Amino acid sequence: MDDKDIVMLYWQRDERAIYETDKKYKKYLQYIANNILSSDLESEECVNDTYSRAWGSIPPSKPDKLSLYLGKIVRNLAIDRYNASKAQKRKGNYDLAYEELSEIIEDGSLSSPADQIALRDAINSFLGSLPEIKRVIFLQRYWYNCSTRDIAVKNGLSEINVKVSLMRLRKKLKKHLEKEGIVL
Amino acid sequence: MKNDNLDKMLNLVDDKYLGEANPENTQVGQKSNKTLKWSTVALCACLVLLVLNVGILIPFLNRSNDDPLIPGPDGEGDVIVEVPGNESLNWEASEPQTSVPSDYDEIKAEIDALWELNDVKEEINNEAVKDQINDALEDESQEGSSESIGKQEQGVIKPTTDNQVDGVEEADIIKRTSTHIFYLRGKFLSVYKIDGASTKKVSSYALGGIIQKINEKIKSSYEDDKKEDIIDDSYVGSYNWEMLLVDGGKTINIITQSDAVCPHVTIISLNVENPENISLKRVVTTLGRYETSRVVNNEILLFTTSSAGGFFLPQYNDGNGYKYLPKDKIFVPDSGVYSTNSYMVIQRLDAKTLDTNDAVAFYSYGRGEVISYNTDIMEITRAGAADKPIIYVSNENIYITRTYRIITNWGRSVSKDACEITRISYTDSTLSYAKDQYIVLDGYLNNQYSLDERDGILRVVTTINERGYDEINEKYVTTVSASIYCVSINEMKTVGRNTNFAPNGERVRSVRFDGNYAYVCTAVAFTDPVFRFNLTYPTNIGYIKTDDISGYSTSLIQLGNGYVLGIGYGETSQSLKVEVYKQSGDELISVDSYEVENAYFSEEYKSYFIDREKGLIGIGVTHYAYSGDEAHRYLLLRFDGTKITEQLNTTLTGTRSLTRAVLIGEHLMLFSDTQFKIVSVGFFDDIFTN
Repeated sequence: MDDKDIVMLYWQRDERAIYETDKKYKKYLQYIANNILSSDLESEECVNDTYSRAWGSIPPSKPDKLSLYLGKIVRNLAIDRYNASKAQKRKGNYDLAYEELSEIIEDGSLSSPADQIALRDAINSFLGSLPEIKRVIFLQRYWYNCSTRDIAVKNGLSEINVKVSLMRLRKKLKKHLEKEGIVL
Repeated sequence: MKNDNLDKMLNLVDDKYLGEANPENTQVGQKSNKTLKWSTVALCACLVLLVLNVGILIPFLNRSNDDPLIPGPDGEGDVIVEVPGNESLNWEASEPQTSVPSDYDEIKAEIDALWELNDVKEEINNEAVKDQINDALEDESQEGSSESIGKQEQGVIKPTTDNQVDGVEEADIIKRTSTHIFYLRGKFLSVYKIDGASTKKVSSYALGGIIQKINEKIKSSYEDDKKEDIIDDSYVGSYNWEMLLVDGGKTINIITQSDAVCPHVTIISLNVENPENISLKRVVTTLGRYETSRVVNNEILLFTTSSAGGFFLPQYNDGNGYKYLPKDKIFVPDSGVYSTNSYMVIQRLDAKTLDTNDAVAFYSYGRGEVISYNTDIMEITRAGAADKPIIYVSNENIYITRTYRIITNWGRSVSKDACEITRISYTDSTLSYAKDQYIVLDGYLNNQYSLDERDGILRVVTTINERGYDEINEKYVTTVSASIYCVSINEMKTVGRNTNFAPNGERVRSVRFDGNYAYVCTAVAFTDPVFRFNLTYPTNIGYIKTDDISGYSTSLIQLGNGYVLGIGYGETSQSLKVEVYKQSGDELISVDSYEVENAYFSEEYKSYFIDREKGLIGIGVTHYAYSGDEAHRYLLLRFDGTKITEQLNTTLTGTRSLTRAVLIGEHLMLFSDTQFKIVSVGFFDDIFTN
């Protein structure tokens, strides 16, 4: 079933929407959650909570790309859950990825709508300037929280190649943000 | 603030870029399958040449003589590896292969060659590993028993875990004796002294320090300047802890998995003879990923899987250091299917001392990481389902399984899932396997409850998942259904079957065997029938079933007296339904059901409390009708032969999969990762006899 039909089921308040979502996206959502939580069971709970959120938010939402809509929900839920239980846990992919990325930022504040717009333009123009493979590596590491080994396997690269690319991309992003006058 | 801002920034990334980077999409730069097939031939040739000339394709080679514990990385960067004879090799030179030899003889020859190369190093680790264990023992006073008080005698073991097979104990996060309850709360073992309503925590034992020490030891085996690059997944989660209570209640063995540097399993053995003054007995670390464990007759059966990009030899820790398994203990499947470059290692340890009595390894039975492979007639790929190996242990045999997809047409349009089941006998002092002791069945398994052994017959339920071509109507046809098989365990041949019994589209959701009967729940959406098969005559398998009922069961549990309990979903995925079935004439009927809407529950079977004699069922749910912490509820239900009634509905915070309950007298003790609670529920008479 394609995304449009699934979203239609949500709008019709037809519970098959959850079943079809589960059938199509469970593995994908668990992958995102597990990259952050490193726990199959906790990830499963997060995915179930995602369905509940989707049920509560569609309608009024009518996402064009259901995978990304759900992906954002599950990612945020997993991060919340991770932060809540952080004290008991060792570093996982999420922490390691953030540690890498936080090297490039200062401790600034971004609260106004204008800041948000500037930030959105900056990050997307940065990504748009990159070759596809570099963009994929960057987002798989910092948005999907994949391990560097996973990224290497998925893209037919060596792990060292991925790590070096990430290091260069971080430096490039830092320069780009500075140029745009953004302090995170 | 930093993390908040990073989150804000990442949440603003354009959807088109996120879609492009979706890890499930076609990968940038990855070779096509066809290219892979050709490159396989070249890689195999390279592999043989490398083994003959250099012998470096051994990811688990030890680094140096004073680096005891640690296997080599599986293809990490440019780490310099020391090998016997002071040859210095650049690890990058042994970049992992993505394919493996396709032929049984080739693989055996590679294993034999690798073994010869490494045979001489067998004993080098012993002293340093002993040092590591001693370090942990010396630090015992700092790590544990911080809340210990006076001497208390331990009682006898009482059952807490609802084991699949009587006499085959499964690991869990709760265990108890007649006097004390042990609950693993993450990296802390909490001990409760049983005293009715006054039951309370009397001591705890911190385990994190021991694990930290072992992880640090592993990390320190790498060169200092490489640490940051190499340490990747160092997460030690609270979920990955389980324990086994053995030795008449005097010893607890805690098993945990860590991914620091390389996946490894640690068993921490504690003396709990005096539960209020626990002491460390021994620590043993072994390689690989923890899959599961059992205790039978005071022996632990430990199942681990290892995988690496290149060819390697399986190792195990016999308690005195790492050793390569002898050649005659490494088995290569005779089925001709080598789907992943990995092993499953089965270790048999003395439950009291953790000495290893035996170990065997099965090539290609690990978790699927590499998609491969082809033979002359078919291609094998990783199946969509069942990434995790499913393991079933009866009183006499171990059954290990793997699932793959057989593609019989290079256009990838005609294909089916298949599961391969291998039998290993453990009735003798050794783990014995004969080359023909395997069977390949159509379909994939749901979980361990899909398998059951009785009177020399292995009974198996699978979900069929096939795609074929209808030449008359000129279209592709997908079949999703369920099948049940009876397999003679002596020959590992099918003696009876009932195939595709479920309506097309329905997959197996839960299975439970009860004597000569098998109960199977199948569903396509939130509607299921439950089937009951009569397996008295394996060559003639008949069944009765319910009408379609809303919802489906994720667990089926035999209650005895012909009743079967289903725990699962009601009309939606946001509901809990508990239902009891029984035969009535030629039908299987629903006796009664209990449903909570707008609720979420865990599918983890071990989190349920089941008391068959008293007809009690306990389960943790999150009920969205309540708010805040109140939403986390624990329900105690009772089936009295005709009705299911709610006996208790109380708050219990914490993760639903980690809730456990113990009923002692009139008190129900509730445990979770965040709370301990005692509720007086009154005395329940026995209703059923089992």
